[in-house]
Amino acid sequence: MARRAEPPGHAHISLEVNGEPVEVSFPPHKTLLEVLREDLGLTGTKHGCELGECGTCTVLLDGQPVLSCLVLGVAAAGRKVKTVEGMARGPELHPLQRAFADLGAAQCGYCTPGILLAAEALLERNPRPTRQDIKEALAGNLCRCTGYIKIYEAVELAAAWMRGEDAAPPEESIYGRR
Amino acid sequence: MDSLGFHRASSFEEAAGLLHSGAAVLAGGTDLVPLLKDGLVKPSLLVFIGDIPGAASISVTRRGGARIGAAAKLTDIANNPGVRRLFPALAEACRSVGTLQIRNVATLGGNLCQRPRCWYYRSGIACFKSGGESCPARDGLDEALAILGGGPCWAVHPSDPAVALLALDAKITIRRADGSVRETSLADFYCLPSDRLDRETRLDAGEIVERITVPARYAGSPQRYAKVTQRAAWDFALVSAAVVWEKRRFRPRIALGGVAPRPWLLDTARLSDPPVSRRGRDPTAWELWAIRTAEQALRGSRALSSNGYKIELAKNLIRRTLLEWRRV
Repeated sequence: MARRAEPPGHAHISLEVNGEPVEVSFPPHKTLLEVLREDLGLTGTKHGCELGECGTCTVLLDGQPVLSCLVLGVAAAGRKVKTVEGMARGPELHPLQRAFADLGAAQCGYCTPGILLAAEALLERNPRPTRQDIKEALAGNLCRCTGYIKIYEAVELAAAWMRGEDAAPPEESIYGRR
Repeated sequence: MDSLGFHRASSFEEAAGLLHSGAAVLAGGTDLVPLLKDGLVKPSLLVFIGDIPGAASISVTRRGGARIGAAAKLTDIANNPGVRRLFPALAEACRSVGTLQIRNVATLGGNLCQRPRCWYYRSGIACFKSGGESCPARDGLDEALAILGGGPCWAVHPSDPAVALLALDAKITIRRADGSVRETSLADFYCLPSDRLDRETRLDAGEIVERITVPARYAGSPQRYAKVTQRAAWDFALVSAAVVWEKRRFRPRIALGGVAPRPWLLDTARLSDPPVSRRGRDPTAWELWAIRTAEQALRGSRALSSNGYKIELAKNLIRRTLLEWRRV
């Protein structure tokens, strides 16, 4: 039997955010980005173009990178959302975060949360990505500061660490060519 | 916006029953959400179809062809082993859409029904699509507009999968508000602005796309989807082409994207037969045929002030794609 349409007003949903069960109410036109930032206080996810063109609002939805500015909050009901706040374990940074800091892969930092999550999803499915794999996985994230090279190097370094290799950043990428 | 309602449909029948005049279908939302934000659509109810059992299913067999639910995600279609093996043109078209983040959410049904990307329409400037009485793009920034089938609106259809599906002679199953279903070919699904201006498809009020079916006839036949964009990633096609070979008669079905207000299927009867003899293919004859076919394909095209490059681009893309089969 067909159910009646829910009355206009607030939607109430349950979901998992960064491993914790969460319940939240909000008007149904709100995007997941707005729900995360305004209703759940998770401001690590950044507000960019709001049109699906810049990638800075990337979060993981059931492990897949998505643009939280194009996903309505109501569509996240019952699903697992991961934001940049969920990457570190207590005081210990995620290897990607450490590599980004060590290599200067974040400059102004506005694109960084989205890129970290897109990179995490890549390394989850491909622990040994080529430079081309990394470029393709990050093709949806714009960075206007770094020129991307530091970002690619940081993802490669973090991938090596996550594979258990005793990798160090190339001297050249920290000090430049001497 | 404050009075927007939301309903999670549990079947397509139920969803179609709720599609009264103020309702909009929500699947992935990658097109609907920007339209909502820009105030280009103002629904009172969103009917969410993403949780309908089977709505995202993809089933592919050599004998049965492909059956793809309207809410199947483009990533899942592009990565599906059966689609990749038997309908590589469709897999490639899905893979070429937007970015990974968009493909992880965007659905096939939504992609086929997406609204035009003409920047005048999207910027909220009055035009035929938004209920206005003129086309500001016609005498304005027209480099992205149509070279075929245009007028009085010249916005091109932005879908990639639609181009591959048109060449693959796909069918669309549509659920009506009264619960009945109808099936139509993708070729008949789309219309031109000269037919109707308020939308790009022949979907009537209260109708919803439920499933896309690709006939087994082209399963595993030689096929390609090729797309030319301004940027290497994350862009709509300036021009795209899908070529699918009919196995028995060995003739190509060719569809173009980015050139017309609808995905554009070439009339095979207007194209010359490929030069295949029992001795095989003569590369020179094949190349001449590819050039001739490209010319025939663009016959009737017309450039506005600054989109004439699309005519040459489309010819070159057709020729280049056909040349891939120059040698057996």
